[in-house]
Amino acid sequence: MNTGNTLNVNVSRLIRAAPEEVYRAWLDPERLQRWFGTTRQIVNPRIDGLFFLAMEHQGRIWPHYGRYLRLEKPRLVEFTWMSEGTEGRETVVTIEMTAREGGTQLTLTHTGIPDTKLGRGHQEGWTAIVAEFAKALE
Amino acid sequence: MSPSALDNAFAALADPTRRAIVQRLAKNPSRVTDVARPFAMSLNAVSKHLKVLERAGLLKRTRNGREHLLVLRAAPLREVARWTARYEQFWNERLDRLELFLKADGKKKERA
Repeated sequence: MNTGNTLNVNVSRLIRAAPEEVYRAWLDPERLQRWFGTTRQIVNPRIDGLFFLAMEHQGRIWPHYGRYLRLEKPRLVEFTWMSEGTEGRETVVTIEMTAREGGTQLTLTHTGIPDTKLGRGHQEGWTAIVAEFAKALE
Repeated sequence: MSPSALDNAFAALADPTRRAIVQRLAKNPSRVTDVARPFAMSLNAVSKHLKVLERAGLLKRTRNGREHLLVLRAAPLREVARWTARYEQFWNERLDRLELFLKADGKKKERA
């Protein structure tokens, strides 16, 4: 069985709103629907609460399921994330929010994205290395 | 690019020596002896690494007069980059929308 090969994604940016507002945007179903781009959402925002997010992409609906792992208002939201893209595996998304001058620094980390068929032994910095190569080759 | 070709590209790049070779060839095409020079290993060992990269479609050999040159092939690397960038793109798009949403929401509050 192959369990070791996963990819991590990390994105970070400054958002011009208070951490409380950012936190609410992730967990309030009505708000979430307005920005996340779901066609349907069922959200139960408490620890071990489940969610369902349906997103339309390339002419069909892509279901996403998850479970809230950590909710620390207003600085942290963490949930599991399962979809076709994760090949049914339970990946983890962690969103950290820190108050900054002019807004909130948001850092999103998505870990455990399966890379089952793809590659052996590439872990930290892999995305960066590959992106660097690709850039050098353009 | 087929999944198995992508597998080969990833497998070939999972080795630090081969990544170093690719990095060097990304700068410019080079002769085998030049590629081998920085490594504390035999030319034969380097040749084995080159063969793996060649089989993965990551490099090809060309001839410039009497000189044999190694040239990087970009396509498989782009494919590798595209795969790893998929989720990054997904979350970046979501965060773009979050920013727009909170901006509009903030304005609404100011008016209220």
